[in-house]
Amino acid sequence: MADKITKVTPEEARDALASIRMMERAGWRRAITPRWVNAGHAILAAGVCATFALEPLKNMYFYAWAIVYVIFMGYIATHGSAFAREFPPPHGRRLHYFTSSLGILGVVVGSSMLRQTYDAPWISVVAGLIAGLWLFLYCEGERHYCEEKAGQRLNP
Amino acid sequence: MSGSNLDSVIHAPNRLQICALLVPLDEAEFQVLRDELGISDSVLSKHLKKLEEAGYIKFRKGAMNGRQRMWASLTSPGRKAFAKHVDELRRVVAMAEGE
Repeated sequence: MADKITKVTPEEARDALASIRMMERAGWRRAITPRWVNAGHAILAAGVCATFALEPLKNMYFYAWAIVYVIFMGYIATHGSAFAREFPPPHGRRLHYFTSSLGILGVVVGSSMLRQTYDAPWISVVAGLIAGLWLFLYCEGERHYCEEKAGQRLNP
Repeated sequence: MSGSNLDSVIHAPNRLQICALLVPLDEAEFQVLRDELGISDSVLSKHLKKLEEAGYIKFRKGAMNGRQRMWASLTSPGRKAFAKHVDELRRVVAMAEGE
């Protein structure tokens, strides 16, 4: 347990709070991911989901998209996320990440089942578009959340 | 003057800023902290060590691009202590404004 301070003036307290606000905003600014990262995630996820729904585990296009996605994630991991000096992960957003991932998984699995039931390839294309759009909207939502916290959005 | 519950470890200006910067983040790399605070490596290390000794932050070390890196994150007691410290600062300001 740290020692307690017994005396601080209101002016010192105000200065300390101003300093805290400034640094918290700096932290949120650091957590804002670049838009190209969000777009990359969306496009690659759309490709993986569409090819998976088309012919799960039996076509080379799925593996090609998946490999590119893995490479992209590896690159992001060394420039962002936990390895970042550029955009560290924001705290307390894991539940949103988890629920969004579940949603996308539901889209992929559901579309794959529909595709096989009705033998209609267009379902896989729609599934890919939905998954990509969902992921992009989720990523942009996280970006907007961080921007608001960083005080960068004038009309939250 | 008032402020009987202010934490002396956190209250130092640089340490206060370190905690404030880490609040929104899961973790931040050493150079991120140094760049945002605008202090030298040795000064930052000294303050981080003080916070670690109090149990308020923890470190993770790893290699990136062939160099050793270190990431700092607030512990759960650290987040609680910081939140309590901020509440106390607000209380001091509110009391002064109420007078």
